Amino acid sequence: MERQATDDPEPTETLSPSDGMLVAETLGGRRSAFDELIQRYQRQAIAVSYRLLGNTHDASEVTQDAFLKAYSSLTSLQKPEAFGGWLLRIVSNLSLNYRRGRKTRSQLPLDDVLGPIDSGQTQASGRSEWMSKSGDPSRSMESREMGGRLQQALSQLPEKQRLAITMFTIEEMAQKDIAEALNCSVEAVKWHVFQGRKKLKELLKDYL
Amino acid sequence: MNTEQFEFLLSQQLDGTLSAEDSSALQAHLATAPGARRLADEYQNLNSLLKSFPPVPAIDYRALASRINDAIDNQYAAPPIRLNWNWTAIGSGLAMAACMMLAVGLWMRPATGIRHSVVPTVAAIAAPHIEVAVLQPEDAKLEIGPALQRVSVGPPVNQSNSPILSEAIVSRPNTLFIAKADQPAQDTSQSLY
Repeated sequence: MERQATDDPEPTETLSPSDGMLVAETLGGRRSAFDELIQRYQRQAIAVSYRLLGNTHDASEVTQDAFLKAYSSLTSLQKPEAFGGWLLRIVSNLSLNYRRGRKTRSQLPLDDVLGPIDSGQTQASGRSEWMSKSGDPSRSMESREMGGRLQQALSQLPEKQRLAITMFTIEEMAQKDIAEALNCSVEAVKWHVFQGRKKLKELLKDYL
Repeated sequence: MNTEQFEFLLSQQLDGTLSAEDSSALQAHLATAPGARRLADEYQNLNSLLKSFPPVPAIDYRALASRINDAIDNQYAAPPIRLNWNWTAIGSGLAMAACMMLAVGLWMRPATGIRHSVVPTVAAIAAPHIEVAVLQPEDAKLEIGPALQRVSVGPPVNQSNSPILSEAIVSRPNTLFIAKADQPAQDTSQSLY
């Protein structure tokens, strides 16, 4: 999968302080240390939230809230080295809550927010950006329909399986971070990915 | 190897987390089991589909980070501070306090011949529902009511000089305990009433 190009440089492991060090420095009063954590994890946070919410505006709002919550709860973080996974857990929970609230407010299922499965009719608003923006304009109707089917199938998975597939298979995040985010073991992450794949294969069997 | 085990190995192979030993077992199964190749192809196709998900649309991450930082600075003027609780010291302190309160409770146990309707205990002293009554003057008449139905005065005569109890006037909803060092405790409930 093609990775998102970014303006700011990626942190290099050899020079960058660990998450644990940055957490400790933040708690010690160095506010800019938390800014480094924001720089380090905002892409992953956006990616997870975006995959769950379907648009970048909501994903940005949730990501901001997640960092605020993380900052205010930093003293309760038991394993500072696991900041990334802990943050992704906050992002996941906030995104799912946001989505539930959105459903309640608008009485619209996620699929309506993401756009119609049969994408022959283009809506001016309310459709998923990934179907309308990110692709080649000449993307075929068939592939757009396939994307819609896949999104719908993903939304039918249990939350942990959906998150495991999203974080690991689609966003290619580290299993240990996902384990922390899902509050389970690395082996359990593998199992969730497997169970998710198995269900997706059943749901999409006509397309495989 | 059953189908479930085979599929789990396939999933791990797609993830790149399959061990060499399991990989050999997987290849052997693929070579011999009917339908295994087709199943493997389906998982491969699904994986390709998942990998083909378009990336997250372009976002100005610099602006996002700035917005997050501004929100934090506006909402939290001071950085979070970790309180370094010394749980060993706290535990020791609590244990000492409990022992002292227990000792007080035992010490206030009535001596023979002294009529106390209720003996103060740790629970009584530590009860969250505390009422304090100051008797001024000492011969004040107390009204018996829902919150004060009986009054007992302590400690016993031979333990009345305790500095700890000299100022203690502690009551529970139904019972008042009074200890004054300069007034050797008597069974004064009659005079109070």
